[in-house]
Amino acid sequence: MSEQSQLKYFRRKARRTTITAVISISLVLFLLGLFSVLVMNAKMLSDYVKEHLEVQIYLNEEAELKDIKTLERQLQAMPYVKQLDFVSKEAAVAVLTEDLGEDFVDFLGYNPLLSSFNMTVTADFANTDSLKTVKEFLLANAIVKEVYYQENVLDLINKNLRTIALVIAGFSALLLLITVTLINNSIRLSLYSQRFLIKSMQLVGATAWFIKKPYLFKSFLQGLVSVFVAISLLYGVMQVSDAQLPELKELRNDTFTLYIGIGMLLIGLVISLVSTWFAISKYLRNKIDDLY
Amino acid sequence: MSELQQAVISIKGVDIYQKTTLVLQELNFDIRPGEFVYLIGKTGAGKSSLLKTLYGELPLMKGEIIIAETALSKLKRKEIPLLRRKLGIVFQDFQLLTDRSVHENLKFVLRATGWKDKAEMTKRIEEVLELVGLPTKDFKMPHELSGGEQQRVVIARALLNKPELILADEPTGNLDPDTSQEIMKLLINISKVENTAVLMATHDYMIIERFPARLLKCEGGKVLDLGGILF
Ligand SMILES: Nc1ncnc2c1ncn2[C@@H]1O[C@H](COP(=O)(O)OP(=O)(O)OP(=O)(O)O)[C@@H](O)[C@H]1O
Ligand SMILES: [Mg+2]
Repeated sequence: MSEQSQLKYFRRKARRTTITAVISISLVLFLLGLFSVLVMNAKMLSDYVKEHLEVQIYLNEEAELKDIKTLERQLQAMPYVKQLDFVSKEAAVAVLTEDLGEDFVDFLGYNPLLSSFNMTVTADFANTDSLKTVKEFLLANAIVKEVYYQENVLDLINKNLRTIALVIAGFSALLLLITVTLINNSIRLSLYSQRFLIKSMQLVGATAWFIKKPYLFKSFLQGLVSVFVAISLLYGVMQVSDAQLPELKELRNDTFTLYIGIGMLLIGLVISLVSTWFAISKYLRNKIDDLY
Repeated sequence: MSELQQAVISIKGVDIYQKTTLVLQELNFDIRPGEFVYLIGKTGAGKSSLLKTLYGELPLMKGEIIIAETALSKLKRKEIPLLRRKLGIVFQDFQLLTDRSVHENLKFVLRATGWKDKAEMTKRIEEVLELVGLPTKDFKMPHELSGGEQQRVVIARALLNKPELILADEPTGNLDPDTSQEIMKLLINISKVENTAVLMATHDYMIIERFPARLLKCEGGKVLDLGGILF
């Protein structure tokens, strides 16, 4: 191969590797963005569920009004309690009778239901651990007979989110590895195709920074293009999902969506610049002639 | 003491390695400002290795070299570019960039070594081209120049940052005898006019006979200082 055609060959190869690198950064960013949107939706959804999660506190038959009032005051003073409603056993009967459509008190001859408090808590408090301590606290009170809430709803949300996180994290890590390798290769190829120029710069006393600058500038652009591609993809996916599942739109938080976009921009630039920096530093430390 | 400070190159107890192979050992010599010195020896004797060590391409493993006020034993990677700006390097395999004019070649070096002011750059380029006798060739492409003219531009490039010392590795290697002599006259003249020391590796005994100067000879893993005598 003549020197000119060899040069062209390496340049072409470098360009192809750069394009593949852009695609793979875009994919990493898209996946991360998609995951963030999912997390956002899941968070809004779980907040919604959590804040509407009812904790039922059943009181003993013989609980006295004085003690009930004291407990009510105690609970209302708690910062995590969002809402607290007292349901007397008579009110409970009325609700249940309406639900069942038949007068079961008449049938039984007595009222089997208990008075209770219906309590909702703030979202950050609606997790299994916190609720467990509340439960213990309440059960220590003599007038409380039972504390009931739907534990598995919370666990289900948290578990699903963790599974999705694991899968996406695994995928992203793999793609990140591929990206770094691709950037490394494209840098090696383009340094090799420019080795005479770089050798000249080194011999006349150009600083490493001077030699690196144009490569870093290119990788900045490469990062920008990747971010643009990834955000466009994500935008497309969100449009489709909005059309299919309008309820999802309700769960969107515009500020949070903006943060996701900014996050993608920063991560894209960082991935591109940092891996370019490391690749070029590595090759400049060794002799350019030893590249192949 | 004063002589040590005066020397452009001062070499004490130095071993030269290529990777793990010892090429030259126990070198001791000085080169004074403005001095013209030949480095001779058979192929593979270690001339290029010694020059590479001097400009920081090969690490100094043992001994001390002080070159252009820089102690190589303490030289950090980051400081290599600053050392090289104080040296002029003229090599056969360190040619001009073929894709740009003479002027652009020289400007490229100035920009790479931290020059910013356009007018100053143009002025310096004109000065060095004048020095090498090519004042009108600045917008020529390298392939439009003869071999001798190209080598003059290479020397002009080495002079850009006003070096105290020129390191030349077979600068006449590719040239016909007449052109070689022209280049030698130029180098010797610059050495005199600019008081620039020159350390030049060469095989060309005809040149040494025609332009006698101090000789350092690489032989049997040592460097012998032959002074001005040619054996
Ligand atoms: N890059 C390298 N890696 C390992 N060994 C090398 C390398 N370059 C040169 N050598 C070895 O170092 C020794 C000295 O080589 P050097 O190039 O310094 O000789 P030289 O005197 O310049 O020869 P020439 O006159 O042919 O240019 C030789 O034995 C050579 O084989
Ligand atoms: Mg040599």
